[in-house]
Amino acid sequence: MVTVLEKEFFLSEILGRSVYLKSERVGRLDDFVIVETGKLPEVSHLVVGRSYGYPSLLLPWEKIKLISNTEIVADVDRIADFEKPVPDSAILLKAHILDKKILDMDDHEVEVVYDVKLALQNHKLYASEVDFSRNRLLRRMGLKKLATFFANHHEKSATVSWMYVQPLPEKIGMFKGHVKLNVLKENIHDIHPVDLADILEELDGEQRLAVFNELEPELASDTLEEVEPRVQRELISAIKRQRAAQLINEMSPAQAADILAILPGAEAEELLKLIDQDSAPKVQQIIAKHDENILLYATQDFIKLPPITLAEGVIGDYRQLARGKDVVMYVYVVDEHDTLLGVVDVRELIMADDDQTLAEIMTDNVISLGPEETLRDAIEMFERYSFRAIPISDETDHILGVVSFTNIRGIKPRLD
Amino acid sequence: MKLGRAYKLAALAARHKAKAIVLLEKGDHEGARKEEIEYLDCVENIPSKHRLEVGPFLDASLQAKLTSMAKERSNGSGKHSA
Repeated sequence: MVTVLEKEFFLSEILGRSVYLKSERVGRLDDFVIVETGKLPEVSHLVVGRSYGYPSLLLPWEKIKLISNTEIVADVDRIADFEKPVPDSAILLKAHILDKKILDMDDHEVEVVYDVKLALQNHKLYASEVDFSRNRLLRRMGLKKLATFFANHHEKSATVSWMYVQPLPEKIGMFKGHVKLNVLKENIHDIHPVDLADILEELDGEQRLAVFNELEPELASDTLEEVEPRVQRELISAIKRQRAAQLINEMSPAQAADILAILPGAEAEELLKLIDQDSAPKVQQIIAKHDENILLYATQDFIKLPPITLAEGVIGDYRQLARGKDVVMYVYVVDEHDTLLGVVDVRELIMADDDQTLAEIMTDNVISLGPEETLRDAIEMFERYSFRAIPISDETDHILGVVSFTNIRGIKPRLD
Repeated sequence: MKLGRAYKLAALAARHKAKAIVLLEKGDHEGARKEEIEYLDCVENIPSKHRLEVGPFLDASLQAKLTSMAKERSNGSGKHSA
């Protein structure tokens, strides 16, 4: 039966502790081997590093008799019986979990494990919690005072039960550290594609691909639409052509066009041949539209007013001003030469004091499109800024028109 | 959109100037002085190349504000007398 002086301790606190076989010092604790038990993973072996030239020891947990604040004592007769390498299939706490990215299944966020809390229950040792807080990292670096300061003043404890975390794969096909891969497979489908997209964007290339490959086609397709173009390109290039085509077939022609448009020409051509041939011409047509000049989609029916106009005047006449206009949620502020000076969101107008002029409340740093820009540029801008309309102005800020989100919605339904 | 910025600063300057005038009328010299400083800061921040262009706008804004304030005050006193 093992005697442990502290019932709970952190992995970083015990690593490197001297290990004795009865009274003979044999080395230092290098790592713990854990096994999945259904709930919390249980420590099955201790990996003991020895001096140069001696093989490491793999001591079963049952052989451990004492864990004190300074030493670990094991009770074995023949040291040679435990001189064996760690099996490739073993899951190691330090090597595979510590400092690695894991998925917080509760918050759907990717975090880095800065420490693991171990707890003794019924004479067995379990990895009970993981700690994402930076003060654990500071502690490990020996900066205890700084860590305590941060813990007291800035950072809350970020310890999460092991039950809610999922270690992530390090390499494609290599699920070391995946003590709960089945949990990932079951739970990943409950995560919204937008959250999954955020998770994928935070992962490294191989981890990202490994997680993406776990997704069912429909979810993979929805997630692919949500990730940023750089990641879309990377994923499409990395997965098999047939799977890429399958995912694209799950999308509407407009969504498919959006994905194909960001790929290198040859790759897009190849995929166009593989996707559903009924929708391929539609997709091609939409891709061609992406290169059309944005002025073709612009309207002249928008509200423009001089900067001196008072808020109360605009609110009072709003129904009349907005009648027959395509863009009614923004008021464009222009001078007598139609130079775009700023823009006022109608919501800001409602909040303004009656005696405030449009110039006072307008945003003067206006995001606008140039007359040479394309529908693709506009789509990117709508995605980036989430505006409902974007003005088009020339190099002298002369307003040429406004492209509204509604006008291009048919081309890009996923912006809905 | 530099011109837009100039217009915005001119509009803010007009607001501070209008406030300064109202405070002065009320006898709050300290408050008026602070508003006057804010007004000068705004005017100073208008890029010099646009200052001439937005000058008439500043004057017109100030006039519009004072008219609006006066209207508000007369409405307010009207309400009281009613």
